[in-house]
Amino acid sequence: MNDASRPTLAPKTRLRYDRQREAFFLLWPERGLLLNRSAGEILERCRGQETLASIVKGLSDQYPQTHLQRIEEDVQRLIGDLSNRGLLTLE
Amino acid sequence: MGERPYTLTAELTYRCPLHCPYCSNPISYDNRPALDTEQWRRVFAEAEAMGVMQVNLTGGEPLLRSDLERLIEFAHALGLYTNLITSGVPLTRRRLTRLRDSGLDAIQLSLQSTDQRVADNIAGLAVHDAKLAVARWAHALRIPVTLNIVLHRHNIEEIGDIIGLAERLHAERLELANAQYLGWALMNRQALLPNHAQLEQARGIAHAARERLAGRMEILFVTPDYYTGVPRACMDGWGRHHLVVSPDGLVLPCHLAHTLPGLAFERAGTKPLLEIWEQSPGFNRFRGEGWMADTCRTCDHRTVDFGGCRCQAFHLTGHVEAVDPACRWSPDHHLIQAARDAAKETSEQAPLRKRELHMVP
Repeated sequence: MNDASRPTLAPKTRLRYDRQREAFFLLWPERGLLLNRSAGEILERCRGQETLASIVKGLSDQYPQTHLQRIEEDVQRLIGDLSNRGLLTLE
Repeated sequence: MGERPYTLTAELTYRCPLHCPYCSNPISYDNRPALDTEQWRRVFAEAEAMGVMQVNLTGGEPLLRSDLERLIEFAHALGLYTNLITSGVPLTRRRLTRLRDSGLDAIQLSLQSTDQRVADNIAGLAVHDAKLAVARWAHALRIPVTLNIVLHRHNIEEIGDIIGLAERLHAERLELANAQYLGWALMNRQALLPNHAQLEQARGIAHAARERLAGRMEILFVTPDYYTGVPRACMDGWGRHHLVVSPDGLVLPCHLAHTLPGLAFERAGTKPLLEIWEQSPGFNRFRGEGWMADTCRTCDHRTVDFGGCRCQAFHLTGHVEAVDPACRWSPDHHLIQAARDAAKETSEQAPLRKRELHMVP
């Protein structure tokens, strides 16, 4: 994983906003993962268009109060975890 | 307000061209007309409105419904994740393309064995090669595939080959599903239950493959409750997250709940689905802990297994409220032990009774 990687949600997954629980869910066959707000916002950007660097920059612009390092750590942890689980690829 | 369901399992028909001796459909059922397209559409829309996000289209064999494309299209338009659970028979590449274009998100394809002779013998029909073709078409059409193999003593030793085949077929997921001994599988238990050594060996191979393939293929292997001494959290708890609608429209907490005596379930369309979920006596019968025997109610594991499987409790002991005999603390656990002991001895020649479609009025 590096700044130029383009994280892309795996084809078997679908990100869906659940209006009952007011949260994003990551869905794949017979499974679902309830996402907290920041995870949902990160994964919305994992469509293969944006690089890791641009995802971090986008979130940092959106949340200027949050330390850049904290955002970087959050993004890397989530993306690393989902990629280990085969739910996301790094192009 | 209590729990809301996440998943709808839509059993579109009980009909199936295959005759697998471990089929999880009921052995007998009422011969009522199946829900039509419009009735299923209402079920999907109401389920989505109450919080369901995924629909499993299953059966029987859902491909036998000529309106499957329209049902997928409708579920997809509602934003539901659609998963087709199928034997892959009968199917053409052209129809699979149509299903994909209707919005199908994923397919779960069953295989019986890696050996064509064994597979066709279990299925009761020469379909193994056709199923492999379906897996290849799905990969070519970029439809994510889960391969599902029900494990039993006749195929569990093939587990290494099964994993290899799943890799060659580019499956995203592999479910190594130990048979659950209910319905047809319970009737055939003596012929199907693997022995402990077989199971341990399979588990070791599955776990090693899970490590090796992490990030590439998701491998699911759950040790059967016959060998753990711990009941499984059937359906993640009765009426907590799962909604099942049977081919004729019964709204159920699990696909065999209507085989339990004394429970009243309601039909989709007669009342709002949400009202059935919240108020149907059948749904409320085993929610919470009030119904539990003391063995469960005083046990820390009750919040993990939710009292185990009611269908297993009833079909083994004759009592719907009994402690699930899979539990080592159950007074009926000897029933499970006896089956395990028999599995040590049973010759490979124990007779298998193939699934047939009985319609009991």
